[in-house]
Amino acid sequence: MEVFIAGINHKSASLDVRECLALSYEDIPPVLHALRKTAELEEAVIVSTCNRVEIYGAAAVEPDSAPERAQRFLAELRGLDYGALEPMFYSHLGEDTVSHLFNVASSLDSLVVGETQILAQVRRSFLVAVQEHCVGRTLRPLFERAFTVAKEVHTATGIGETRVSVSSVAVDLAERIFGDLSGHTVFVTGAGATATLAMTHFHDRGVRNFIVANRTSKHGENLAKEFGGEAIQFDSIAARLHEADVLLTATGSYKPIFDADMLNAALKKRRYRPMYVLDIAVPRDVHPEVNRIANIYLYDVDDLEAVVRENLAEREEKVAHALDIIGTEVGKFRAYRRQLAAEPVIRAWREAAHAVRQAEFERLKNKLGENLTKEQLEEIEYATERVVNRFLGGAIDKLKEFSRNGTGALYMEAVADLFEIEKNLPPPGEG
Amino acid sequence: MAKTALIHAFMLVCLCTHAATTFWALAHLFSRRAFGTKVLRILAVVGAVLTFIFLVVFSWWRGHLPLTNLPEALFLLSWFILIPFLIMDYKYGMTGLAPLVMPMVFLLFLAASVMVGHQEGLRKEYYSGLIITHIAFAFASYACFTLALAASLAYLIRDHELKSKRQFRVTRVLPPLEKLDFIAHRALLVGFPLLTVALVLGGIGQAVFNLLGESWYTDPRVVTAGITWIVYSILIALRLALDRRGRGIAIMTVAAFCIIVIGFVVFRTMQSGHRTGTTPQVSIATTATPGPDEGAS
Repeated sequence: MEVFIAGINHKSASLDVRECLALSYEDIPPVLHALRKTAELEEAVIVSTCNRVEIYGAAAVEPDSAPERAQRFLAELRGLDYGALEPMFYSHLGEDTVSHLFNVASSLDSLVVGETQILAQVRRSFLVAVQEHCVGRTLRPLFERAFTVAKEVHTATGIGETRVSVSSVAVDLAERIFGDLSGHTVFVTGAGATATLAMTHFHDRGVRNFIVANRTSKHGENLAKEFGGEAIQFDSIAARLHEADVLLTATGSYKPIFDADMLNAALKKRRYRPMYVLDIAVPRDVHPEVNRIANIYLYDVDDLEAVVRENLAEREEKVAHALDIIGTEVGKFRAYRRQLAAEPVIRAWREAAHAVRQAEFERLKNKLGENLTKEQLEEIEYATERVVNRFLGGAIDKLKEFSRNGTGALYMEAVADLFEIEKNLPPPGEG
Repeated sequence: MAKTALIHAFMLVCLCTHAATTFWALAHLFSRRAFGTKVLRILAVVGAVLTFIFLVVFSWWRGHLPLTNLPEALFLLSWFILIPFLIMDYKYGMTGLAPLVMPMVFLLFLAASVMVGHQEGLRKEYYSGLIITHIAFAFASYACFTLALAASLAYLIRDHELKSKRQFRVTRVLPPLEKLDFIAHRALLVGFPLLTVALVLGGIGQAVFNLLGESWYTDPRVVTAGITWIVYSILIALRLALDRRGRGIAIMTVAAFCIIVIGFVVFRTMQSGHRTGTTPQVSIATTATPGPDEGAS
C-alpha cells in the first residue's frame, strides 16, 4: 500500500484559508471515517493545527490519485471550490511522504523552526486516528518512527534551544545572569507595544514582580494592571530604581533618561547585585557609558539583533544537522518497508516447506506409527521441523537483506517461481 | 606485596575514574544531550566513593591518616574538593562547574599518584592528633577555596561573555552569574573559619612541639598561610561589611588562590628551611614498613 500526504500549510495558504479548513480534535473522528469512505483510503490520519491541515493516508485503490481524492474531500467538506484551492494544496507520494512527516514532526517545517508544540499535536492527531481504528500496519510504523526521529533531532541538535526573536533573546540573557527569573523584579519605563511584548516574554518565564513607570500615568497603570504589577510616577524612577533586577526601557524620549551616575547610585543601593539593563528604545534611553560599570549588563536593540543574527546562523547549522539525521532515518525506514514487502513471500515459502514436511511426516507416521512410541514420534517431528527451519533460515535472512538493499524483487520473483508460490498474496492481518 | 599491588590497582582505578569524569566534563561543554549531565554526576559520585575507599584502605595499610606527606595530602585534597562540589551540585545544580573542578581533581590525584612512594614522611611529633587535625582543617579550607576559585573563574568567563556581548558555545553549561557569585561566597564563608582553626591549631602545635624552631615566623608555610588568611579575611570583609560582589571580588578570589599556589611552590623550593622526615617513610613501591597483615601475603 502506498502512503501519501495532501494538505496546506502556512507557506502555501493564507490564514483565511487555513481557518476555513481547520478541524478541532473533536471534529476529526467523524471526518476520518467519511474521508476513508469517500476517498477510498485504507488508513488515514488528519493533522490540523493553526499552521497546517494535512491528511496522511494509505490507499490500495489507485494510490496515485489518492492525494487528489483527499484534497477534494477536504474542500467539499467545507463547501469550498476545489479548483480555487488546488494551487494551495501540496501532496507527496511514497518516500517523500515519509520525509515530509519526519520534517513536520521534527519542527523543521514549522513557522518557528524548532518549536516543540508540533510534535505533541502530531502525536495527538495520531492517537485520535488510532482510537478510531483508522491506522494500520502502514501508517502506524510511519508515525511511530516519526516520533522517535523528532526526539532524536531535538536531543542531538538542540534545535529548540536557539532563540531567534529579539524578545526571547533578551529574556535568555536575563536567565544567564539570574537563572530562574521568578522572584526577580522587572522595572519597566514606557508603556508602548514594544515594552508590552517584552513584558509578556518575562511574564511567560515566571516574572511576577513588575514596576511600571510611564510619563502618561494612565497607560502605565493599565499596563501594570495587565501584568499584576505596580505603577509608579515617572519622576520617582530614581528613588525606586535599585529594586530593578532587570531595567526594561522603551520610551519615546529623545534624550537618555538613565546615565552612569544614576545607575551607579542604584547599584550601590542594591548592594552591587547585578543589574540587567535592556534598552529597546530608539533613540536609546540609556547612556552607553553605563556598560562600563561593573555588574551592570547593558543591551540595546543593536546588541540584541547581533545575538539574533548569531543564533540564526547557528540554527542554520542545526537545521543542516537535523536534515542529515532525517535523511538517514528515511533510508532506514525505506529498508524497513522493503523488508516488510518481502514478508508475504517469505511466509508463503515457509508454509510451503512446512506443508511438504508435514505430509512426509504423516506418511512416515502411518507407515511406522505402530512400532514407535509417542515420544519417538514427537522427536521425529521436532527433527523434521529443525531441518526445514535450518535449511530455510540462511536463505530467508539473505532475502530480507536483499529486500532492505532494494535488490529483493528479483530474488522474490525467483523464489515464487521456483517454489510455485502465489505472488499476489494478501497482506497479513493488521497488528 | 599483594597489598602493594592492591593499593596500586585501586589507585589506578580511581585515577581512571577521575580521568573519565574530566573527559566527560570537558566533552559536556560541547554536548547538548541531557544524559551528558546524568553520566557526569554518576561518574563524579563514583569517583568520590572510590577515592574514599582508597583513602580508607590506604590509611589502614599505612597505619595513619593520609596526611603525613605531600602525595598523601594531595590524595586527600582531591577528595576534599569533590565532596563540597557534589554537595553544592546536589543542592544548587552546579554541574556546569564540572569542567573547571574535575580537571583540578584529576591533576591533583595524578600528581599524588606519580609522587607517592618517593616522599619522605613527617617526624614522629607530627603524628600527634593536634597536628593531624591542623593539617586536615587546612586542607579542608583549601578545598573550599578551590571551589571558590572554580566558581570565580566561571563568573569571570560569564561576565566577559555578557559584557563583550558575544555568545560562546562552550559557556552554555555554566551556571548563571548570581548562582556563581553565591557559590563562591558560600565556599569562602565555609573555608575561612576552617583556615582560621587550622592556623590556631598550628600555633598551638608550634608552642607544644616547637616543630619549626625558633625562627618559625620565617617559615614559608607559615608566611603563606598568614598571607592567605589576610587576603581571605579582606575578601570576606569586603563581601560582608561593604557588600562588594561580582567581578572585582571574583578577581580577588582568583588572586588569593594564586597566592596559595605560589606559596606552595615557594615552600617546595625552600623545603630545606622547613625540615621534614627524619623518620624513614613507607614507600608503596618497596613496602619497607609492613601493614598489619603484611606477613600473611
